[in-house]
Amino acid sequence: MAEARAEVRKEDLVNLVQDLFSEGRVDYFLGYQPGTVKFKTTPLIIKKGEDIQKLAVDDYGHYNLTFYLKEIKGRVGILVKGCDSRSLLSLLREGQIKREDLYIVGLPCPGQIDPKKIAAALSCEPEDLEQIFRRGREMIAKVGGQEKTVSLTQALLEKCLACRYPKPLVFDTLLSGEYTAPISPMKRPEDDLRPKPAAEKWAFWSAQFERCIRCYACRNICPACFCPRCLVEENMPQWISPLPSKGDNFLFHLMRLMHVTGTCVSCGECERVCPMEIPLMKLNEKMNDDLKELFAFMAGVDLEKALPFRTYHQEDPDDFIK
Amino acid sequence: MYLKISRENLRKWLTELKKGAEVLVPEKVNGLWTYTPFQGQDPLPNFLNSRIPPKSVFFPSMQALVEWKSSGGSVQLRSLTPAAGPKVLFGLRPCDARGLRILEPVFSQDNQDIFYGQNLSRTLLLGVACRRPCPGSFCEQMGIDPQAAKDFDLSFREITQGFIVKVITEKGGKLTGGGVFFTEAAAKEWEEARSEIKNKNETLSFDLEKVKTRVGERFTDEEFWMRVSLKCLNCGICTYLCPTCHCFDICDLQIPGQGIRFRCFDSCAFPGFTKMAVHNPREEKWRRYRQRVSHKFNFFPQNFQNVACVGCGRCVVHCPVNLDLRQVLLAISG
Repeated sequence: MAEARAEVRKEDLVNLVQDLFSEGRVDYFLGYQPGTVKFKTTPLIIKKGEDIQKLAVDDYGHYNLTFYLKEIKGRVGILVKGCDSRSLLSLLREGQIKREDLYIVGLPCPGQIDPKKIAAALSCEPEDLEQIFRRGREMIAKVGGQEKTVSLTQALLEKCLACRYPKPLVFDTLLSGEYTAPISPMKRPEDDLRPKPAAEKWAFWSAQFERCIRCYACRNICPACFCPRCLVEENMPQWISPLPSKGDNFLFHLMRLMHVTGTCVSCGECERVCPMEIPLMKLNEKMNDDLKELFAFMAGVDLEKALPFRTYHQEDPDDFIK
Repeated sequence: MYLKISRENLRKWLTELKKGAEVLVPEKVNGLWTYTPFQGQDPLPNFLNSRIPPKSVFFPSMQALVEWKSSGGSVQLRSLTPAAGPKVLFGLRPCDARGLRILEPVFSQDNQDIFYGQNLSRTLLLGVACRRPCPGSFCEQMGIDPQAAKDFDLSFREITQGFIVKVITEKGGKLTGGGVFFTEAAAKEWEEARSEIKNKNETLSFDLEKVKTRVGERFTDEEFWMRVSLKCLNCGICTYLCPTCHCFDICDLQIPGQGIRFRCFDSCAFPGFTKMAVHNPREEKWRRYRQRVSHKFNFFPQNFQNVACVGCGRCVVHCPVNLDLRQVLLAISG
């Protein structure tokens, strides 16, 4: 059996954050603490150095905490996994945050566990899972008192399987640990929808968006959705009706998709929080692939490259305007 | 009166009912549990509860109220009426049935809302006792017995061979027919069919009476509300998935010459919910969070005697940031 990865030592994190506050370097620190239900972690927003002892790191830190930077201003310390750091680079590039306001703490990530995927692999409901733990490089789930082994591929979030940036791309300090991808990065399975005729895709997304309840969790958890005023709330004129009808839902999602393209770093949070299980990442991944193909652009990996939708050249083609 | 029915007969009985009524049963569609028209399948698979509460069957996210047409300077208005005909909802959980009853006075006390009222009166509520706790649920702390509910028309408890049924209302009794599918059962069998719900979460237990008295005292403690709402996302999940939240908006769909006026869900978590021409009294997040908790545990009981929460746990498990209402209630009561 392969050896387990070293875990992040809680005291390393706690001591570090304590120092940040006592040296007056930050006013807030964004981290995690254990959640109140099984297989859940919850964000911990530390203010004035309170609650530092509650900080913890576990296998369910799905959050891309950078979305809180839309709301929490000032000098902020933040815990980021490699993938989350791409949001920071992207937001820096977009001028949404200032580097000097941040104290970035890198977190070594062994891949985050997705209980829904494990339940699907074991043909049970997520609620049937009694326990999930790592044994070496395997994952064990307990169902009905029985231990069952699942592979990392079956147990980790989809984004973790394609992890190409296990080490934060921007940081002030790195917690000690192993900054390698949980498995050797796999190419994402080709979206089976893409080769299908437009009518079929239309039917698929119509059915998906018909279910949308317009709770806006996808928008609110998205670090790339940083507009202070969103088109859906404008009512003079009203571009999109608040009615959760298929047409308006469609418009909302496509509008959001167009707006975040170029800033979206595929963190997958929109899809994770969707209460209606709409596979939003299919759309984001398609747009990100197009960006790669058309502009050789990937969001959140450098601070230099021109932003595709913020850059204009006189010689840009305009033959699409009829 | 108590009855007994086998799983197979239950299926046959629902098939029979389908001839004269719309029958809804729990089914997993696109990865989430919902109530869908019965097609002869196993009516009660490995089901805990639906993602969207069954309040949507009675108070849908979009309800057409009025339509109009205009031509040549005149306008014709037409009130729309709720759908008619009997409906049967099978698999309902005690918490959600309570939620439907909690909402009744909202839609009937001062003004009669024909949509909610008629939808409820034409639907037979066939409830099933829970065998396992839902994650995040705290129904018993809210005074709900997950094994029984007087809010059903017929109350089912699963046993190995099928179900023991308690007839709660006359129309429920009528529905069971003349002994073709059901046989008589004894009160003792009903009692024996009660199952123990395990895995209760003791650490998040709060005293509801204390919550009710202290939530009002907490109202002016701004620092408290800021602290507990700090990680809130301002999304509408907790309200839209809540079996008792009922705030709505009115909006029109129109094209030249005609239009329809709808009622649709709205959420107090949204900054625009209270936005007025010159002022927004709940601009800050903590004010909106305070409103939600105060409405459920303070204002609603003042108006309608009941707390507007049934402890189903949907807001707890589906909150994108795990902002747990139980923790907040515990902090209020403590």
